[in-house]
Amino acid sequence: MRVAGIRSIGGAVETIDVPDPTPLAADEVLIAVTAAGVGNWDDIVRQGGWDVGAVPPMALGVEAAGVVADVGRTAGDLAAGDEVMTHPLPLRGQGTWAPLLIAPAALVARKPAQMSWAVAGAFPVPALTAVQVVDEALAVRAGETVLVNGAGGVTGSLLVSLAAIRGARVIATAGPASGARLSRLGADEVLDYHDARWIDRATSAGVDAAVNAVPGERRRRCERFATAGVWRRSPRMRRTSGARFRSRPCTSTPTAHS
Amino acid sequence: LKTVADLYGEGRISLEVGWELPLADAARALETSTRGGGGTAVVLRP
Repeated sequence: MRVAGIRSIGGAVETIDVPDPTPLAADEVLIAVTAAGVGNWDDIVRQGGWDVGAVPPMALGVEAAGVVADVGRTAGDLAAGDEVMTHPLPLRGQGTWAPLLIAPAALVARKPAQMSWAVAGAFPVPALTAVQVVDEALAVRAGETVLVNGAGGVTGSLLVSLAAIRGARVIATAGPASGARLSRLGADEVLDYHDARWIDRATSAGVDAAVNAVPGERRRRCERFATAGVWRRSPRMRRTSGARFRSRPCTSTPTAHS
Repeated sequence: LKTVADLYGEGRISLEVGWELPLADAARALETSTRGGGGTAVVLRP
């Protein structure tokens, strides 16, 4: 089949032919891809910085939405014709920038009826990153103050929304063009990152936890994604201006489920 | 994934797609994405 991918690590992205999908294992489904997301993490895969389970020549892409075309014997309640989305890592064959994709049924979720195909294709990675940061890595609690650095992007915007839904007071940094949108999503305060004093302003507000969503920033600390690094104030640290935070690498793990 | 999909279904979170491109334009799509999409996502359509 014809896919978009690379012939070698570090190579240019191009249209290439790869073998058709293999027969399904019992726990797998075959998805006819309708839309596949593209993110800065795909360039990390291209450059060999993230092992997603396939080797070139390979299709890139780690998230997709589409229609189930076939199911393995133990693929749960999924059936041909179901509309689904997935972040199917480690890959079982090729990446998602392909017409057909094999995915473990356990990593497939149904597409909400009102979600467009385009949104569904781009939803899994940033959404999983955001929910895992807010609910697991930071374990945000109602009433806490959460700083989202780089909130103007796709992942950052979802982080703002989810932290606000969990009852946090959200301080976001973004460019001026994103301010109104982030306020609508739930940000209580939006700081312009062009203002060199934004860190002082944020810390003087007494931040309990922080997440970085600026691609590239703190990238070396991130094992797999450049999209999110998290910090949580140590319980022993006082709530004062300039307080230090314990930091940890970002995470985002494929989780399902239908 | 189902947790956040449900939140989307309830209208509590959103995601905007800014670019929809065919597979043949994957290189351009990746370049667009790595530059930052201004809060909107990039997708490929096989």
